[in-house]
Amino acid sequence: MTAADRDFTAPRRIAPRMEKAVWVLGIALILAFLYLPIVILVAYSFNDSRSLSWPMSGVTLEWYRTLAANEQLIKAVGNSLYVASCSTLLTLVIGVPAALALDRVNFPGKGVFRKLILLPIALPGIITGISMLTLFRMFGLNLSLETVIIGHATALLAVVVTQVYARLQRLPKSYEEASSDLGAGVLRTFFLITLPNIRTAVIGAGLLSFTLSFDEIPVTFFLTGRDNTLPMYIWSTMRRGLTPEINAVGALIVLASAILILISVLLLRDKPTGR
Amino acid sequence: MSDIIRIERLTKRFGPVIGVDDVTLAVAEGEFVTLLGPSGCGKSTLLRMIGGFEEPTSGRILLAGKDVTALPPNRRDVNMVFQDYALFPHMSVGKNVAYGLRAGGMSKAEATAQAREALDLVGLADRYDAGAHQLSGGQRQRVALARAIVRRPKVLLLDEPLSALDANLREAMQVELKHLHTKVGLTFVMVTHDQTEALTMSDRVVVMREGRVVEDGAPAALYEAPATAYVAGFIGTTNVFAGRSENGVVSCHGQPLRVMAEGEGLFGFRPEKAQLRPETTTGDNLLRGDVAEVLYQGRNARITVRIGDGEVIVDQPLNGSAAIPAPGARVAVHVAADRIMRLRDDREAAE
Ligand SMILES: Nc1ncnc2c1ncn2[C@@H]1O[C@H](COP(=O)(O)OP(=O)(O)OP(=O)(O)O)[C@@H](O)[C@H]1O
Ligand SMILES: [Mg+2]
Repeated sequence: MTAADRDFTAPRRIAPRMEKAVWVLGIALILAFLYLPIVILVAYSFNDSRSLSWPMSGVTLEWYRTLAANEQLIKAVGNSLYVASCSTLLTLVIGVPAALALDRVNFPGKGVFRKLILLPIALPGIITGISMLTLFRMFGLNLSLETVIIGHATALLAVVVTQVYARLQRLPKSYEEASSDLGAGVLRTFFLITLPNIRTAVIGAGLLSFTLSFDEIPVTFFLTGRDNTLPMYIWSTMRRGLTPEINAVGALIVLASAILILISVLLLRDKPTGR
Repeated sequence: MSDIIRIERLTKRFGPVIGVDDVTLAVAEGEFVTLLGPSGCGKSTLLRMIGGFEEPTSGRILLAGKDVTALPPNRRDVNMVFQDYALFPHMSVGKNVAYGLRAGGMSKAEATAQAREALDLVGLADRYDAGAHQLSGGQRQRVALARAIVRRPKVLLLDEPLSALDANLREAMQVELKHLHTKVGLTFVMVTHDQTEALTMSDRVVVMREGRVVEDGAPAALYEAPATAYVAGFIGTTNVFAGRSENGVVSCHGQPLRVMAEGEGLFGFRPEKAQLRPETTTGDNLLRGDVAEVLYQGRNARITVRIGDGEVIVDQPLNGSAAIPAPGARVAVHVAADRIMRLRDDREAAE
């Protein structure tokens, strides 16, 4: 490159640099919008004063200590984990075969079946809650965490079916045909061929279901008996004002979510495929 | 009987669409049969019914004398090479090939050994541990072949196995596939819409049209003596004209030609069976006209000659001796009487 070339190109480099700065700023703003509340939440969970004033007066682990001693809260966390795990498992067990049926099998009324199965996603939680409450009352079932699980599973089914169905549609049918052609039965084909190829969609849908169930309030509100889930507990204590313990719980949930996300990233790390 | 496959009056409807229409066909053991026809004529549907992937609307399929019409694919002793190869993307090449053996209950060690052997047969012994996605198109095709033949099925089904390959590779694979057929001695049923492929590779070509079998025979027989105008036009090129033969003479675009057959209908001859002669030539079976177009094709020139109100095509070999006439030149086209075929039209063929 000659000096003349450099002189010629120099002014043109400034514009891209400015453009870059604008981009970086824009992205920073978006990220701040998304994550600033969480950062503040985590920060105040270590604040040594009860008031939410800025700047923080000092750092303490006091709130985590009171939290660890709060049996009601610990119980609520346990309940939430129980409900979220069971309802996720239940939706997967029902949702994956339903998606398979929608994609692979032709049966009369398939179109209607599909719409009906996807409908609950558009229903407000209140409707699901009230209608299931009526149903359980009709059958004389006592409300408990198990009724909450059934309620959540119903509401989450649409999530699982949509995600798995979308993946199945992109999976060539010839894989399953080839498996069958090579002598494998239906179950072997499902576990050795279909499932590994829709794995990421199943895990993704499962994690999403877990999260949605974990912080669900409306359906839980109607269907729970004496037991409280974590969001219900937080909500009830909040009426007495925002306490630093709540911030500490929030911070722990953020940590747990981060771990979940990390796990999912590790699980979903796909081997590169040629397609 | 040595018929490995018998197809009896097989029909497949997709709602109002007829995919396969009343097909009856037998395939002998060890034969290489090709199903040939234009797009949408039902070749794949017929093949898929043999494999068990489509349920026939009516009719029967017998495999080695046993009625398999109602059996699912995993209970039929046939294997298929899919058009997209359908290699399992989450498994290594070796696992892909061993899959069918393992599904059949073979021990892991035994399956691995046989899979290696099959890969060796298709020249991919060193790619056992490669991922399916790390292979080139031709290699994938070979893996798909190895995976299908490793189970030693009674019949190997191939749905356009070479269509995903580029022209050079396709030609090489045609030869390889043919060798493989000889080597393993299995019965091959292949679908293609490429007439050259069908002619070069198979023992017998089954020409299909709109769900039906039009004609069925050895490649040479179909090419040299097609029974119908449809096959004459589909396999290679044919100059077809309609006429009535009286006392062994028929009129071709207004000029007399001596033929062997009697009666009224379609006649035709292949471009390479006719010769160009100088306009001054005298004798029998000469069609006189003007050169309309000359296409250079390497080994020969394809010359269109306008005869009266029609045209005939003549392939002139380019071996240096004969000069190629220029467009507009007056020429004579000679075609011997025994080179002119009597062809059935659609109406006659349906009878
Ligand atoms: N699953 C299906 N549903 C409805 N119609 C179908 C189905 N499969 C095939 N057909 C119809 O049946 C006819 C034959 O199809 P087929 O796939 O056998 O053709 P083909 O000869 O293999 O054509 P190509 O060379 O394009 O692959 C076509 O008219 C096609 O539209
Ligand atoms: Mg086809």
